[in-house]
Formats: sequence, structure tokens, C-alpha cells
Amino acid sequence: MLDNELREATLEFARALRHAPAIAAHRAAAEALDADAAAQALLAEMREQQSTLVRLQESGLSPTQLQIDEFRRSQEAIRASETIMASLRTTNEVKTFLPVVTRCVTRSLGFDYAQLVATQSC
Amino acid sequence: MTLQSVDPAVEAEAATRAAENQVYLAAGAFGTALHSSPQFIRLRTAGAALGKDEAAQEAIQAFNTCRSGLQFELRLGTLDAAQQAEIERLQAAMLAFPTVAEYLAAQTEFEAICRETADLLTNQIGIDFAANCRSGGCCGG
Repeated sequence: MLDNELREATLEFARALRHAPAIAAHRAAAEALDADAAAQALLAEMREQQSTLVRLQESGLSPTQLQIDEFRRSQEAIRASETIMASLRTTNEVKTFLPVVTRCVTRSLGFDYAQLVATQSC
Repeated sequence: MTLQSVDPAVEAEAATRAAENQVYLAAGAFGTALHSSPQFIRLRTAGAALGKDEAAQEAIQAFNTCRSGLQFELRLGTLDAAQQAEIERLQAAMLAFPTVAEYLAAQTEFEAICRETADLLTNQIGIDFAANCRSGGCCGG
């Protein structure tokens, strides 16, 4: 349970983060992507094609030329989607920005904050 | 008096830098608040006490040496009964030291507080903070 002082410092940190251009741009891009049905359909199609290709590979089969062409067409359509590309671009910006910010926390704390909160996924 | 024209790009860049500097300041203040938390003070106190406990240090060393020696078997899950018993004996001996037990409890409590702050940040900014705060993803590569 966080005491008041730590809770306030955390909330103040969150407020500053929300106003950071990288975070604000990512949130805007994520909202735009959620609202873009065509972009969602493209991503769903790409995921479906990817899982088909993985299944084929796992069973030792090769994809047909038609499947490869469809996959390439999906990739091109995704690259042409400004909504999807903005989402990817801002995601990368967040992944660059947050580690820099976290190093400031680590310097003040004297412990590696990123290590302390690391998710145990790998 | 000279009137200077304002380049919108320069102004935007300055605004970006100002907002980022606010974040760095808030991050530093947040780190300081964590450093002053009762949980971190407990961890530092426990660490200092453990550092002075030579017998506990020897028990930790013995446990770590045993584990290092059996690293291959541990990874493959091929420990035999005697090796398993030896690791368990050394671990129990190490944990029997109050300084070790206190340090581990303090560490667990502090990690829980840190995760709680990360969860709060995640809820507030709408981005998984813990998953994105390390360079190179979760493995930190």
C-alpha cells in the first residue's frame, strides 16, 4: 500500500508523462487506430495470414505463390496506412523515451527501477 | 529594441524540450520519494545489518557456491537426490539467519511497492510502464 507522499509523487510523475509529446502522440495515435475500421481490418487480415504461414511452416509445407502474393499485398497496404504507421512510429518513440525517463528514477533511487518492476515474461 | 521573428519549428522544439524536462524532474522527484519510503529504508537497514553479519555472509556464500557448481544440473532438471538435499540444506541454513530472512522480506516488500507504483503509472498514462521502461524490451538487451 502506497503512503500519501509516494502516491502523490507517482501521480505527479504520471501527470508529467501524460504531457510529454511522445506519450501524448502515442495516445492520440492509439485512439485513431481504434477508431479506424479499415486499419483494424488490415491488421486482422495480416494476423490471419501470418498464422496461416506459421502453421504451414510448422507442418513442413511451403506457402503457395498466391499466399505469398496476398501476404505482400497486405504488407504494402499496411505500409500505406497512415493510421497504422503513426501508431508504430509513436510506439517506437515511447519505447525510446520511457527507458530514458526511467534512468532518472534509477539515479535518484540508487536501484535499477526497471529491474525492480520487470515483468516476468522471459 | 530588436524584434525577433519566432520560428514555429524552433518554438515547437522548445516546447517539447520543456515538457520532457518536466518529466525528468518529476521522475527524479519520484525516485527520491521511493528512496524515502519506509519500505526502502527497511531494505537499506536490512542490507546494512546483513553486511555486518559475517556468519550469514558465509552461509550465503556456501549456498551460492553450491548452486553455481550445480548450475548445469539445475538448468536441465537433472539433480540427483543427494544434490537436491545439499542445496536444500544450505538454503535452509542460510534462511535461518534472521538477517537474511529480514533482507529477503524487505526486498520482497520493496519490490511490491515498486510494482504498485508502476501499475499506478500504467493506469494513469494508458501505457504499460513496466513493459516499456527497459531498453530492448523485457530482457533489457
